[in-house]
Amino acid sequence: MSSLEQRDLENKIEALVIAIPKEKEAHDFYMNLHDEYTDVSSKEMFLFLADQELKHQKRLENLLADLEKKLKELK
Amino acid sequence: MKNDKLVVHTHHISSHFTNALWPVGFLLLFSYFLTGKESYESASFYMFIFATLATPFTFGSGIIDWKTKYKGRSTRIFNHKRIFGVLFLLLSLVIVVWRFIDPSLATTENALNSLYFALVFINCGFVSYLGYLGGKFI
Repeated sequence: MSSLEQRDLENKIEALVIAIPKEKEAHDFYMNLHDEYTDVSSKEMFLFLADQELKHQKRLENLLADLEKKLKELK
Repeated sequence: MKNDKLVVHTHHISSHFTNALWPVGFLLLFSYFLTGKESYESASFYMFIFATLATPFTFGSGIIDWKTKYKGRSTRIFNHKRIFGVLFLLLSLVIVVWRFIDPSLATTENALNSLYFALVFINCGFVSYLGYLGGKFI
């Protein structure tokens, strides 16, 4: 693997490493709002948004695992 | 507030402290060289002391933050933050201790005076780069 390819993979991995905690923070943010509100429609909305962030987080974690595997194989 | 969030906030607060005080200290020292008013030089020294005192908190909370929030993953940005964090702390200690031992260091015109100013300037570069890297996480 060329050093350029390796660097490209490392940059992508770094971006995901930084992005994953942001998704978790967004999830926690919506869950806090979900807990604060008492009416059903607000609770549903914040739960939906929290769930979306959780899905993003899992998607990014899967992408990260794939990229790390690829980097390990190519090194 | 959860403990991990408290640590993250500690890093944000202390890093702003260091990132603000050191460049202000540099500007005060520069003001001394422009005006010759020794109060500027004294003020810059106090800025450097407080910036240096804040640095272990910045560094320590950053390490905890990296190990918990980012699972201790070794990427370029974290490596640079660690390396330049250590360089900044060491150079800060050298500058503060040197100036403490020799209070006339900056106010006496000789080669050491220029070296002192150069070290302060280099450290300003280190802390600016650390601030730039920190900005990538926002």
